[in-house]
Amino acid sequence: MAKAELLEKLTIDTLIEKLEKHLYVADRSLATALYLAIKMNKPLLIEGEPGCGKTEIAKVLAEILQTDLIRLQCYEGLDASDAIYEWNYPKQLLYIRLLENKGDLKDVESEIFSEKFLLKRPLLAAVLHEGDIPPVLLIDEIDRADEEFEGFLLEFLAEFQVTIPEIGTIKCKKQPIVILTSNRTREIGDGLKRRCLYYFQSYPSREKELKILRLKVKGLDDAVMERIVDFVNIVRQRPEVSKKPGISESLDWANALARLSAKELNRETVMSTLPCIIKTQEDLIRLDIDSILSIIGGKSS
Amino acid sequence: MHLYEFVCGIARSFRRRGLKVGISESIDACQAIGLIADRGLEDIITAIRVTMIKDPSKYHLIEQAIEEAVAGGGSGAGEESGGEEGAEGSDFQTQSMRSTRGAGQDRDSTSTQYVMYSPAESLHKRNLRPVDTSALKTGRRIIKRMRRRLAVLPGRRSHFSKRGEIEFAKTIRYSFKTFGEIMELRKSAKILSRARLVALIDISGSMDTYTDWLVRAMYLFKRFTRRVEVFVFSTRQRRITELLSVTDLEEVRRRLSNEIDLWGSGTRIGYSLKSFIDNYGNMLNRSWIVVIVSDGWDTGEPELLRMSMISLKQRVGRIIWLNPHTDRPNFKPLTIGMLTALPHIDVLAGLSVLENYTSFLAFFGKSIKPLRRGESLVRHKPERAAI
Repeated sequence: MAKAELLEKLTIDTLIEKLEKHLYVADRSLATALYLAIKMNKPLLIEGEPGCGKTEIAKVLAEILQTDLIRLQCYEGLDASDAIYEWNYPKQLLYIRLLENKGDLKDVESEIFSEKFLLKRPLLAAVLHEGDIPPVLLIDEIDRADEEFEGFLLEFLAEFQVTIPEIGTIKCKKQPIVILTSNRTREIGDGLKRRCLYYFQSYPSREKELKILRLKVKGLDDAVMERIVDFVNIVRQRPEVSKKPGISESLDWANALARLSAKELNRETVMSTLPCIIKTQEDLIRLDIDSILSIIGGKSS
Repeated sequence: MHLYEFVCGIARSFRRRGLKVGISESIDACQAIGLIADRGLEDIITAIRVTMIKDPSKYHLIEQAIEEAVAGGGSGAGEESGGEEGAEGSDFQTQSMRSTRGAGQDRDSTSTQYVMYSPAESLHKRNLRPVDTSALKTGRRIIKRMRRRLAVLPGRRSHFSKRGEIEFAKTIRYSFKTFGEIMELRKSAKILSRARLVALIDISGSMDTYTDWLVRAMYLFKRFTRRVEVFVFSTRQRRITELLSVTDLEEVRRRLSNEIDLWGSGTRIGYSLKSFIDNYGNMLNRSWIVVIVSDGWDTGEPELLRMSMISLKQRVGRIIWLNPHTDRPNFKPLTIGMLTALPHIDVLAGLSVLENYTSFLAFFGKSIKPLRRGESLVRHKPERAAI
């Protein structure tokens, strides 16, 4: 199937099917949100707890659509030069020195401000992308970026163009599929939310989490997987745990137990592998493992 | 029913419950529903959810809105009724009525209004008196100084530093002195000048005497830095950052009077802190400063307060506690709440720090440099001189 046709014939059901083929278990609601984002050419903002597969969905979508994934990891202090473009100053300096030695400085300005001295950052790369299918632009953890950058994004997401004073305005030929993720460490501004479709990804149900483990972890008994899911679900509800484990932590734990060929979830195996799901010393001390084991033990019997 | 009517009915229903749903969201919803081939109810709900609701805590409103839109209940409703969804779990009754001069006197008399009420909501609302603004000027000056003193994050300004990062632009500019020959790499580092602030303000009955101060403090704290979150608490906590997002103090007072229903209630500091950590703990890290304003009278479990303080201390950079009694000459932290919280506090000060510059210097020190990490300014000796 031609790439453009792939995008044309996409339906919610085929999207769910393809996501599962790529080992991503998605609710119908998430698939619908993705489908609408693609068809409506609107950015999709996915918020939710850490480790619930927000970033993964963009990666899998790029694989499904057989297109490039362009990732912009947000952090505090991120500014337009890190996100769009930057002139390669060291290269420009070297080039000037080279021309000085040759004694030829006639067209130096136009040359050093040309595309070959341009460092393309993710947003510019997404604008300049050439291909049948637009790239998936993942703007990851937007809540970590400053509000100024969020304000800048409003303009970019509205126009999908970049202006470089020395070169001019570059408008993208095909609008990228934009996915923004946020861990809700701060409230995203109303302006950005209004420009995006919004989806909230919460912790999965027991059945869904079990399905994900069965799909992604090999070599572990089903009974052990069930107990892992029950254990993690109880840990999530415990108020004394400050960093709640997400699906990625469940997967890490299940993989660790599979590597250790664990046949059951007892105190010993839990104690030796608990750092896979509990990430702070205080949580490790405070968590009452025995009581959780007794609860899930009762459940399995 | 036509799709547009259906979507407009839903939009009106959402607006009545305080959701910000604009025309663009309605257009998106129409387009989204139109794109769904088989239009099952589940897909329609998802389409409405992703296009119109940008706050997951409001997802529960969707089915009711659909019912209203299908039944035609949304038609003819006032677009800007100003209704607000109230406390979680409380039942609301909605009455549609033609506007008459009464409760909503300043509203357009030709529009249809929806009056929402809840027994729980109306209990503790308070008509706050106009706030004395004479202390605001000093307050602003003190807040600026406090921001610098509590800074934990690098700001925009940089200074020359041998351990900083190479600045190419500065290096080139500096090389002009030597006719373009680069003799020295210029390095710079950002100056610490910013912090993020969470203010948790006790508005229970025991703090009634300081209501005027509290309103001014809420207003000033919101202007502390760019990233500020303000919460009030008594028996439970509530985020009020959005209510403070106006520059007019009188408007802030009006909003606090109309929207907050926790004034003069009992105090459960531990429970309120725990609830804050459960709901907003994700946003906290070492770059946040927490300011708690309370007299420490707690009717809740001291153990819960202790656990909450430990948890808070682990997550944030600094905890400042402003206690009105600290201003008294012979202050001793004897309340259970204060005794429990004291080991986890970095700075304990009185309310006068926001109104009196001398008092600020006494509690926060004369230095203009940021406090060092772990530096404590808790001086709770009984013989401490009065401010």
